This record gives sequence, C-alpha cells and structure tokens, in this order.
Amino acid sequence: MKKQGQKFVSLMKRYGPGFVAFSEASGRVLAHGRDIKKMWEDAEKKRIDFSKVVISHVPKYGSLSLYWRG
Amino acid sequence: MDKPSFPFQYSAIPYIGRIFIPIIPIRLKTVNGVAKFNFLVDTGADLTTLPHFMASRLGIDLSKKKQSVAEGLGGFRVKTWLVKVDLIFPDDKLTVRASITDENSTPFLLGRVDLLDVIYSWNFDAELKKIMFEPIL
Repeated sequence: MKKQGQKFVSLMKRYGPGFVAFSEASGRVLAHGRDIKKMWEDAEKKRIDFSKVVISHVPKYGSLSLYWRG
Repeated sequence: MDKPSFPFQYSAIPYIGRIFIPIIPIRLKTVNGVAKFNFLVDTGADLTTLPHFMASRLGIDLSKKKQSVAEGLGGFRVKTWLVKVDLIFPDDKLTVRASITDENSTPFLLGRVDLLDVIYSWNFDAELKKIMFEPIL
C-alpha cells in the first residue's frame, strides 16, 4: 500500500499536471503529455499498443484536487 | 451480474500525508483499439466527464451533440457537449450519458447519472480497501 502511494507521488512529481500512458504489466510510463492530446500524439509516435496500457490523469504534486460538477 | 471491485489507490500531499484517491480502470473503445483509462469515482459529478480530445478518439461528432455548460467550485464554468459513452467493465458494458468538456486537461470523472442509484451502489469499503460496485437487484 505504501508502494502504491509512492508510485503515484513519483508520477505526480515527474509528470503532473498532465496525462500518462503506463504499461499495465510493468508500470513503466510509455508516453506522457501536459494534456491528453499531447500524450496521445506521443503514444502514437511511439507506436504504443493501446490495449496494453492504462491512461491516467496525473495531478500536480503538492496541490489538492477540487473537481467540478461534470 | 458480477460485482466489480477495485483496490484503493493512494497518493500523498505535503503537510497532509497519504490520501486515498478513488480511481478505477475502465475500458473505452477508441479508434486506436480498446484502452484502459483511470477514472476518478466522483460522487460530486452529475455526469461522467471526459476531456475534449476524447471525442475524436471515441468517434463522436460533437457538431451533432447538444451543448451545455458545467459549473464547478468557485463558479468556474466550462462548455460541454452531452454525449453517450460505452463503459466496459470486466464483465459488463454500460452506456451512460456523459459530458465532453472543451479543454484537454479535464480528468476522467465517473459521475452519478446512469450509474449510481440506477445500476450500482458504490461502496468504498475501508476494511477491504476496495471500491465495490454492487449491482442493484
């Protein structure tokens, strides 16, 4: 559980705010961008197999998240 | 219908410490194939919400969709389009009404409409450290 938290923190520190596509198997970040479009273009450029990744929003490290009513 | 469950995920914030973040993986059928997205389970969101770029990736033509406005904390307003999205769970596929915002940094939010109170109860089980989607019988 501690590792899970540390993993997300490291993602926030390195990639937040933004989006990442990470390997479902290894957890390695394969593509990233400041927004979903940039991340997607990075993933397509690297010819990533979208069926093997998890795409996630990554908040900015150190900021609390307050989301709007969708 | 099976009971989808998802282990708790955690983050940390300076001066506060560890924070539980209710994100769960849901598959969406995109033009690049079926991909898995982390959605924030947001009981405060009326609708499931996705960033603008996802419309093109999901094959949705926004010019034919009804426009709306979503309002958030501090009166922050954003233009949205009302769409329908297929959410693919491990053993289930649900079509829900959703909103697409006009910007690309919106997180993926899982809102209440067509899910909570209709299909599933959402149970944040602190003992099992899992988010359980319990089907309404």
